[in-house]
Amino acid sequence: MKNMYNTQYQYTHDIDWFFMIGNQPIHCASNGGRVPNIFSAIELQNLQVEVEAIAPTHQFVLNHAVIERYVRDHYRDVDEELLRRQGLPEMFKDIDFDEDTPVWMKAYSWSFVKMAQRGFLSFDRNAETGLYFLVASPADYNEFRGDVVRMMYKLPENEFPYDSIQSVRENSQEQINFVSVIERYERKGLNG
Amino acid sequence: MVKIGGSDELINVVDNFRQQVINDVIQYRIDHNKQWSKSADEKDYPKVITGCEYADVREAGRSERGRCYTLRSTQLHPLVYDPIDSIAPLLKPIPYSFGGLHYGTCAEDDAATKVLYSLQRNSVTLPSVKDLVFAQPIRPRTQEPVDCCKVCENVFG
Repeated sequence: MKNMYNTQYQYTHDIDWFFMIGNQPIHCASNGGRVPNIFSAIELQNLQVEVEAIAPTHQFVLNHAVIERYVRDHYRDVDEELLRRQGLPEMFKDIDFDEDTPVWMKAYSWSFVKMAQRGFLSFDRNAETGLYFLVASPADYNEFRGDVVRMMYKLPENEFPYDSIQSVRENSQEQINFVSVIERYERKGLNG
Repeated sequence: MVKIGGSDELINVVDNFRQQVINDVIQYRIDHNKQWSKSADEKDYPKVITGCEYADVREAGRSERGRCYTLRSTQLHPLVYDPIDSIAPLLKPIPYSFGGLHYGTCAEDDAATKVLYSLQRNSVTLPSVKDLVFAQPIRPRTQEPVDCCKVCENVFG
């Protein structure tokens, strides 16, 4: 058993965690959900530090349809002018969003875009269903250098219950229970 | 219902706090060798932040772990702790974590505690917690509004 954050910490934090499916790196924002017990808290912190050091060089693609579907309603009553005034966090104002991207979508997606620019498929957790959906991905995803991040947990692609992670990317409306997929694979390992 | 609203100043307090929280996390990751002693709570984004206001006192708070393990060790103001303590055991199921209970960890509890202690320091007569006004709770990573939980609705509403 790895010494992960206790459940109380996990329920009260929005934790960035990472793993790989085959050679495809995945970023997940936990949004108060459980993080699988595949690394210790210290290992996860080190991983976050390593990921932060990757240069954000990739072009990114925002998953507009899914963001509209799962997130738009959350901003219905939000004052657009207030969002515009508060804007994005200062250090992320350099993200090159399309001109027609609405302010609420920029405010929502900047942290996922940063991960996509580093080569990750970046997922958020739907607080209502507990499942993850794709928010942003690199436009040139085949060029990721996995060796940049040494400690990333790797799930074999044939253990992923879809045709491939690319099929999830192409059929981007899919919601996935990554935690359960990983834990099922871990249990299989324990049972031989 | 929890009183959600507050002045423009309160909204600014929450927004500054949001920026601070995000900068803290990113700065820790960029510069972790110099900041290893930071508390774990500053290494990840909180799930929720909010602000609380009474008279001219305004404070921001964050969802946090371990605020409410036992009466003796709680960091919550007694005016916040007592109603939570009386309500929370009635909720089923009560999820345990290393002996701690999952209540008293909301951003509202943190913000209200800071306001009440601040009023206490200034020798102001303490209000009922139901008279405290809160800013719209948000997820700091995305600025999405978040609903108050049932315990907070009971305690502050």
